[in-house]
Amino acid sequence: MSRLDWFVLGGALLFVVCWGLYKGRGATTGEGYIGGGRDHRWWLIGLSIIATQTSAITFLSTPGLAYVDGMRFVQFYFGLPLAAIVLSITALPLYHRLKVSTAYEILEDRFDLKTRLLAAGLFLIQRSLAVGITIFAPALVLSVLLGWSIHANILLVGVLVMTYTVVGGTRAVAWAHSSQMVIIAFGMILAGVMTAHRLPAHVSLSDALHVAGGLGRLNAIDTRFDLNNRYNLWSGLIGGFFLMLSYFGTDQSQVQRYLAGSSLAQGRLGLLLNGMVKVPLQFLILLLGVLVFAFYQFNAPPLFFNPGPVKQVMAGPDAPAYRATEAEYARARAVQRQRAEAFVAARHGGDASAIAATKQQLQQAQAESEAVRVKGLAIIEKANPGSHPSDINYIFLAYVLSSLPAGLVGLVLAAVFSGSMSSMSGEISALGATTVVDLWRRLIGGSRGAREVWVGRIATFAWGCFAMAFAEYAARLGSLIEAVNILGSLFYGTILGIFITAFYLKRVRGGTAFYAALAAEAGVLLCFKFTNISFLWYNLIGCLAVVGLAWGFSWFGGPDAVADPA
Amino acid sequence: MPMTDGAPPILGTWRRLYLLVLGELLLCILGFRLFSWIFS
Repeated sequence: MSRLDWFVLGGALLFVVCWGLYKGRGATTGEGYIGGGRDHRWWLIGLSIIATQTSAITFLSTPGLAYVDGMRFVQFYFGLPLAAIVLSITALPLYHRLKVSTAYEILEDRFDLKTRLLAAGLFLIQRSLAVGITIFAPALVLSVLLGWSIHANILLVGVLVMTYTVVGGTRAVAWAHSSQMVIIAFGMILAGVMTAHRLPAHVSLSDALHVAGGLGRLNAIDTRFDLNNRYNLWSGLIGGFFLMLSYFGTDQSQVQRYLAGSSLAQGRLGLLLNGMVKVPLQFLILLLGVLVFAFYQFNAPPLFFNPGPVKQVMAGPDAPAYRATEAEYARARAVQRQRAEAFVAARHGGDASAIAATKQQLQQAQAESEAVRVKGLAIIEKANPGSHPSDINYIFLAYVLSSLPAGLVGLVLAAVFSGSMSSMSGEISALGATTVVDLWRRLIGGSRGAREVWVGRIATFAWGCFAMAFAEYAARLGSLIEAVNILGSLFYGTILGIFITAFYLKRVRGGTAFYAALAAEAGVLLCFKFTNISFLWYNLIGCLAVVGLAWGFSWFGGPDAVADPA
Repeated sequence: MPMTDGAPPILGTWRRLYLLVLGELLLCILGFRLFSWIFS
């Protein structure tokens, strides 16, 4: 990294922290600290909602997924706009009418304390683990790029985030989010433009996309229905809908964002803004990965982008075999590059039969390169038993470091850090709020005055420390983005089921909902352990199990299971 | 001008705004499909 990169990175991070501290000053009551003063405009809410979801993982894994697997991951987000509309109509008016500070408060009104605590507890467990994974990502970035220790990196991100989040609460988080989204947008757009610019002079953007498309990287929509296929139109629309319904309707890290709105209309608009922006945004980030893929059709990529496991191979008895495979891969990629050039030349010539023939040859060369890469992966796996080697999270960063100019590297890293900080701040702020409102205020009977600000700060600080500690274990997980999504899907369906039961099954009482939720959660965990069902469907399964069991229990569970007619 | 909870600031009614969001999703799905088809 050049001095300019350090200047851009350091300046951007310092600005975010100072901006958050400046705008978040002045919270004197618990409501002001947790509710952010309830005066946020729709655009601030929308940016804050988007920023909370946009983690560093978004920048690390998503372009890498597009490079390896194409663009079908975009379908994961198709349920989001539908969920935003449903929540705008149903949940938001209810939250505003009851003037709640956390989503879980309404469960006590409707059911009982233990159901409220169960939902709040499930949120605290899954979100605190997820935020640990979220802050592990940039730690991984710097450890790979600069050789810093992962512990020091986690500490740095944690301290930066906690500085403004602990001091300023929800208001500081929202305003820091707005500055982070500006950095993220600039970083992403400039990286995309520069990648297109760095293609060979005779290769146009259209040529590059045709090369990527010919090699199956533009497969954005898959209409086949298959429960074991992770990303297709139906898993995105149905499974994704239930996941997003749960995430945006019952996860305090999101609910807190729109509850800070100055009115119901402002909250609704913020949520709908997110519904309109997220799908195109993910498409553009995936397109960035496709452009990197196209770039490497005309430039030599490494056999494996993750240098860690490769070092381990090189230190062992398989080093000669790996070196030979690397040389074989370089030869295969040279052939592939020639075929890509021939395909582009055929396109420029305009002869349809030549285009079809060169495209087929290119596909053949890609299959041969991939076969050599699989051989290399087998050697890596042999040297790192049980590691399931994956370089998805390294592809984009390796590209940025080796191919982008000074200054832009710093900006992309600032965008990665901004993503990590934005999601961590939103999440630990929500964990702190849930601890204060659903545990401290409810169980200990704390006041809503100035003392509660300090309780909120201590809770937020404690959750930040817990997340940092858990981040130490994240290195053992596979592709980061999927780990976070799988973790969420194990709990979201159950939480959503509790809320749907609360909203729509009037005859179900607290004890019934509570035991139905416990049984449903056990069922989801059994599905995860013993079946191959794709994780998006757990959201639907968990939700339907709670609703179905609660409804069944209310008919067969005796008088205690049915609400009083009054 | 302060907004009321009764109506969104654009399009007049919430129903129209929801249709706009749905329409954009449909356009995205069709557009992505077209994009894949053009470049494959």
